[in-house]
Amino acid sequence: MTTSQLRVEEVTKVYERGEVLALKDVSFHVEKGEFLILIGLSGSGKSTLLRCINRLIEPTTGKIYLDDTDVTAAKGAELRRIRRKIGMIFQQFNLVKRSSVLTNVLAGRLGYAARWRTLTGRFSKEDLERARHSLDRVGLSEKIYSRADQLSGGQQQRVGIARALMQEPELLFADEPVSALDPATSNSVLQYLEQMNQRDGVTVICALHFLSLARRYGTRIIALKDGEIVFEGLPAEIDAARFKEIYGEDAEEVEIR
Amino acid sequence: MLPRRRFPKTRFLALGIDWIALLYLSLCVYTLINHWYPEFVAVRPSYKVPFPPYAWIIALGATLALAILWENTGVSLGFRALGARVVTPEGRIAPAHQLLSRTAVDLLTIPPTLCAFAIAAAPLAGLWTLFRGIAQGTGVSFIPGVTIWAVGPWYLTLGYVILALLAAALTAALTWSMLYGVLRAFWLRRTGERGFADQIAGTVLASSLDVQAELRTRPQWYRTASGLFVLLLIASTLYVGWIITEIDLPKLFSRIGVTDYLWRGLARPNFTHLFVQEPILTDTIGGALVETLFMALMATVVGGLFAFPLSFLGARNLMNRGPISYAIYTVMRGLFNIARSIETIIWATIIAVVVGWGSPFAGVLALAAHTVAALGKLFSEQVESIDPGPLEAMRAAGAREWQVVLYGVIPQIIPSYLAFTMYRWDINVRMSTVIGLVGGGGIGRMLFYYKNDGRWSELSAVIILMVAIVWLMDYTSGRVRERIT
Repeated sequence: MTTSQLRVEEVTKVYERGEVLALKDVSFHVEKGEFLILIGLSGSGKSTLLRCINRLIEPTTGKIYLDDTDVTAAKGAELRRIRRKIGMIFQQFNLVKRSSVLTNVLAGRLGYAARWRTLTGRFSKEDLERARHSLDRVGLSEKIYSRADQLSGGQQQRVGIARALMQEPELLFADEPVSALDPATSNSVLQYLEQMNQRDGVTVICALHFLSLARRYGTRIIALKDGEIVFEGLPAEIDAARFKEIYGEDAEEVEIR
Repeated sequence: MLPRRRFPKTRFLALGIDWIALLYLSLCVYTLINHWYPEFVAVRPSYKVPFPPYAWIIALGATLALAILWENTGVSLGFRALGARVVTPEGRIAPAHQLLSRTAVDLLTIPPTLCAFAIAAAPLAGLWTLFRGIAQGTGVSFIPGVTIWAVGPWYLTLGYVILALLAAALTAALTWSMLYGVLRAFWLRRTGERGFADQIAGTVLASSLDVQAELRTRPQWYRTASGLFVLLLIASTLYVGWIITEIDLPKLFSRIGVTDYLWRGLARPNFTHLFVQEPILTDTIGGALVETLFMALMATVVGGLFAFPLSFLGARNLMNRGPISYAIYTVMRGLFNIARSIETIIWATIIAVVVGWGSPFAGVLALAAHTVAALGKLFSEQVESIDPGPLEAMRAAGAREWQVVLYGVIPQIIPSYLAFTMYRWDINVRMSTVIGLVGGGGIGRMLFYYKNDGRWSELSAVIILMVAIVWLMDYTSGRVRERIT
């Protein structure tokens, strides 16, 4: 029997001396090559869930397995080895604004590069070549020496994607990657993710706000509400009734094309 | 809606505020009387109004009683400051008879409380007498002045000591439970409960935000007791300050004419010794200026080099990875604050004793000590205010902690570090002009020498050059800082 690439089993996260229950017994499996979308209101636990999987946040209880490796038990070097297999892009892009685009992209290689090279900042020829190639893929090869804060929001997010590409990831996490972008740019950013998913076979888990985007790009949808999974299924299965269940009675669906 | 009750924290805090304010005012009044009495009444100008030790007890007691009386008007300074009022349970102004009975209960409960405290002190006094008697070898006793067992075989002494201890323990158990009973009955309440006086008088100490509308319109500040009281406090503080610092304007004006030689000397600066050696000091003014600039530079570089790594240890966002790192953070911040609160001139005074009076090395060390602390704190705050996003991204990519610092933290802080270091050099130049006065070397040494010698023209030249250098540093560092941030 082949097991799933990622298995999340009964993960619970309690914040601040038991006052806030961010995740309640969340369990799901992700198969290789999926484009999984997480939806739900702000504060429903999407970001916490993603960060629990790569242990940026410590889950309180539960088990997580990536390729049958127990992520929750990993420490030190092993944890870093797991993390570098998982690319991640963020809502606020999380670039060092004062550094150049190239330095930002190379930072994605920190988990692989030799220690002395990162200490002196002299990355290997292959890493530099890889950085150029990654920037080329997101169409930013001309901006390689620009400062990150001179780029537009969409361009910054593409730098974030290039940084994730540097990790040659098997899994890509996207934490509301388009929430800070306008509709047109949103689509282009998601197309890059789709391309990674389809061309490189990278499994994508993407937290999104817009259901229309989720329907268009996702192969499967998981909806969270107050830290619990309230829906798991195909994009087409979310109808008006389901929508109200996930987002509450007063919600109105907003289209984004 | 019933008002939210604010007892007992607010009550005791408010009482503390009122008590301290009244005590302070009474001490101000004493100072003023002391000032006026010899001036208008007494014959001898050095006459002091007596203030015997027991006057403290009277002052403390009287002001406490006054504070309690004031509180029971329902609107004291403390209540006003903490946003509380004494009202009826419906949130209306408490009528006079209720306030009066509240006052009576408050005042009547104080004597039994004090008595309970005094009685509860008895076992402690007994123990003290017992141990003193044993230590001094005068015998076993727990009543001062009465020797129960003078000298005897050791086993009898031991027996009496054990008996005395048992007696003390029994008394303590009795008196302290009585004290607790009294305190519990009159004063101790859980949050939100009503105080004893409020229960008897039928009033509530409530938040002034949710009392009835009639109370919410506040009169102008000068029509309230607390407003006028604060005005009185400010006025008496300023008057007392005037007396204590011996401000005497007529003296200034009468002396200004007498010291005309000083002004004439200062008005004609003498730059002879700018490049010509001053025989006794074996230095020129120019040389001392260069020395000062280099003192400031070396101190800034040394201080900055030490502050740079230390600032990471003093940054909360990097040091919250467990109890050990948090302890390092706390110690680091504490050291910064202590070293920073010792002024450069004090550092110089001490260090000059170690490495020699008038040595610029002393000045460098003194300036560096203060610079490490000041820059360490400023740098740490910069580290704390960085964007945590990139750090998260790098951790997610599998970077080690030191790589996160190197690639995520340092690029974000370098510009402000440079700006702060520049600013610190500017401050150090200004500081180093004066530390020569206490043996730190540099231009301050010249200043001190000319002032002692009464050579006002040379002094004037030194001052002019100092101003010029400081202004120049200020201007350039300002421009450079503008460019890099």
